[in-house]
Amino acid sequence: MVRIINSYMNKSIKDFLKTLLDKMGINPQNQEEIIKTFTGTLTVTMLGVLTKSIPEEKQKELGEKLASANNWIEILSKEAVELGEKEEIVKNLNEQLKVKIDELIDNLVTECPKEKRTEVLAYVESFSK
Amino acid sequence: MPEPSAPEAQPQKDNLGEKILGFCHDQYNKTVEFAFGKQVYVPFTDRKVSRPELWLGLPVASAFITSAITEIPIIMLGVASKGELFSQNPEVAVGLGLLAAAGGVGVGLAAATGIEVMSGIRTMSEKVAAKLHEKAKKRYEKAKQILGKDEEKIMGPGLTRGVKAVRDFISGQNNK
Repeated sequence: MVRIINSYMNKSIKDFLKTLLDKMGINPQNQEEIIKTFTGTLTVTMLGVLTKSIPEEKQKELGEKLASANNWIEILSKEAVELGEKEEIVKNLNEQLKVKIDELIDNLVTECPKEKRTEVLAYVESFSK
Repeated sequence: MPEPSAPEAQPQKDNLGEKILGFCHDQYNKTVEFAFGKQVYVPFTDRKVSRPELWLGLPVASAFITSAITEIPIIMLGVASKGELFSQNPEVAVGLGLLAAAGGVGVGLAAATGIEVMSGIRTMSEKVAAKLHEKAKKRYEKAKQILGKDEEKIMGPGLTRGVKAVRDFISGQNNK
């Protein structure tokens, strides 16, 4: 579970986005904000999926544990796997994260100026292979 | 003669970046809403309600609002006719007064339920909602004055209990 989360949160997605935004000519300040906001979206997506996988009666107890911790994702992952259906959680997590990434890429490609679109699309395709 | 200083370099406007950032903020907000459920403050009650509560309240509120709107002209007629009709035809005034009271209750209930829904979906500002609440209260008081009787005699025990339940609920929420 943690490995899957890390694969989304590690540098690859940030590097991918940075290169893409560079190719589109977005200024560094906006690049940083876009990546920060998008990383936040992925984190909230994960928290949402994991929280929903934990039975309601356990959530209060878990909430108290999270209140004094920094490593939310790790704690939630561990609890979700112990208390929920592991395969179902991984499936939901993958689906939700993919939806968010696809949404962003769709938006980037749509908004991309025509003269840069071919290059941007080629980069997206090379990355997804 | 001093040389003119070089103009400061202005950062280039990045419309595309800002547009994409706007999309990212929107995507983030929607994700938070999906993950944790959106809650909104309800004016006068000092409480938060979730979207499902609002949607449950909507059909109830619209039913009461529809009934209240149709009753308003009757209230006005009841008020206008008070002096003349009441002295000559007390039974007409009592009949109109009964309808007016029902209308008043309808408006009161619509305000009580409608305020929550309307504020929740943010189609009505707090100020407008406050006016509606105030208006409903006045109409209700006026309807009571016309008859000069207590609520239970005017509306019957069943309706009175319903109104009391709504009032108790709102007052309970206010005290939370």
